[in-house]
Amino acid sequence: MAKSFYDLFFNKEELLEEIGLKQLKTEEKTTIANLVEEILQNKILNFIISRLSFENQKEFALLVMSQKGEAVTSFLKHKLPLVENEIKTLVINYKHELSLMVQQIIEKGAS
Amino acid sequence: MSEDIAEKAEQPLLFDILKTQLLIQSREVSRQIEKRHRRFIKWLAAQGYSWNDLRLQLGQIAVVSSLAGALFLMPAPTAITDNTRSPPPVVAQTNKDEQAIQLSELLKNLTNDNFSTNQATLINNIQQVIGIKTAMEIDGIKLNINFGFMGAEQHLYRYPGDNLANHLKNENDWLMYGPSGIAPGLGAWGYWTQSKESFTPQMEQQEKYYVAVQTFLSPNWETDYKKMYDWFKYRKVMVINPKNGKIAIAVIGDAGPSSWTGKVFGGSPELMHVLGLGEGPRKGETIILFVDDPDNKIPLGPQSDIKVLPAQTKQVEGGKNG
Repeated sequence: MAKSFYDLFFNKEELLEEIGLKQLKTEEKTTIANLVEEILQNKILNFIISRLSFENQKEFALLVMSQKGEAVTSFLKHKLPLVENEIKTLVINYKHELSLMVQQIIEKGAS
Repeated sequence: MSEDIAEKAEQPLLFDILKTQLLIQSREVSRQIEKRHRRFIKWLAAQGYSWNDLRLQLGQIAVVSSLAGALFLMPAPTAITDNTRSPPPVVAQTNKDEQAIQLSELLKNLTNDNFSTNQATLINNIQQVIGIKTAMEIDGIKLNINFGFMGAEQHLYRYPGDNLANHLKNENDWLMYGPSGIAPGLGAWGYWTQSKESFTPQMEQQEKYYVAVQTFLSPNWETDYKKMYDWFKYRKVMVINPKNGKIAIAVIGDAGPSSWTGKVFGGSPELMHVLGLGEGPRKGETIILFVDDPDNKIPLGPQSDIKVLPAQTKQVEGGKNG
């Protein structure tokens, strides 16, 4: 089964449940999920680009824009061999950050 | 996160505040990206793309889930010694002067166009004159190219917490190799080791004399990239500057450069200096050959030069591990 690149690291719907946002209405969930998704995607891409030299940034971009999936994964595997675990850590840290944010909002709202 | 706490909150309040905070966060992330990657974003725009195009396109890339777990996971580092099992180099005792002259002439006249027709002679002459057995192909594996432009690379991080100062031992090092800087990302094989304590002099030499080659363009790469990734890692090579006859032994320590740069190899700051390419445009034509050194006896670093002399001149310096 094929997954998209970001699906390797997070699922936006599951992520909302994990951080305690089950109770939102469907349309609210969609709005929040889309925002979280955009932020995380930007963080992941920022992380990858930050780790590459300018030449490699260009090569990576051209591979992505030409949708050469295998070449992209091969490139990342080769250039940033530890990137998978590092992105996973990034996602975990962001989930934690979001959880704290939600918790603070809820606590302030309840007080 | 606790659902109990969540249930206490007014949902509209939670949603509104959270949405606002996420919008602020989103703008902040975008601002950081724009600030940090200004050059790259400008280049993207010149190609007709935006950062968001790239982000969305990356999301469209399909990855086979059965591979996903192992997609980027790297095998454990392999032993540094080469795994070739061919006989050790043999230095011919006869016709050495003649071979040296031939080698000198060959290097002087070598071009990208005539390289393939002269490669066998080159390898034979190198073995006779330098005493090191080289090859275009080992284990059926070869580079995409053996002759072409080499450009200057930067120092590489060797272990977590490494920095440029750790690479430079004295004032002379700072003057000669400091300006090269250190690459922002790791080399193709990541750190040499995971701590400063486990960092060895051998690893230090490898980073000092490394080349970047286009492993990803090797004709063998697509057949089994995992195997190729291991095979190329720290593979010992001979690097020759055919214009001045300077030679060094190095390892493959990174992958690159990109095809459109006009360069096909990269060289560490120290290697470029040894090859006489450390100043000016810091690039030049080089030859890279695999070193057939199964016992890992040939040290990294400079070898004695081959004097690339005018025609009819017979004096050629050569020697092993000079």
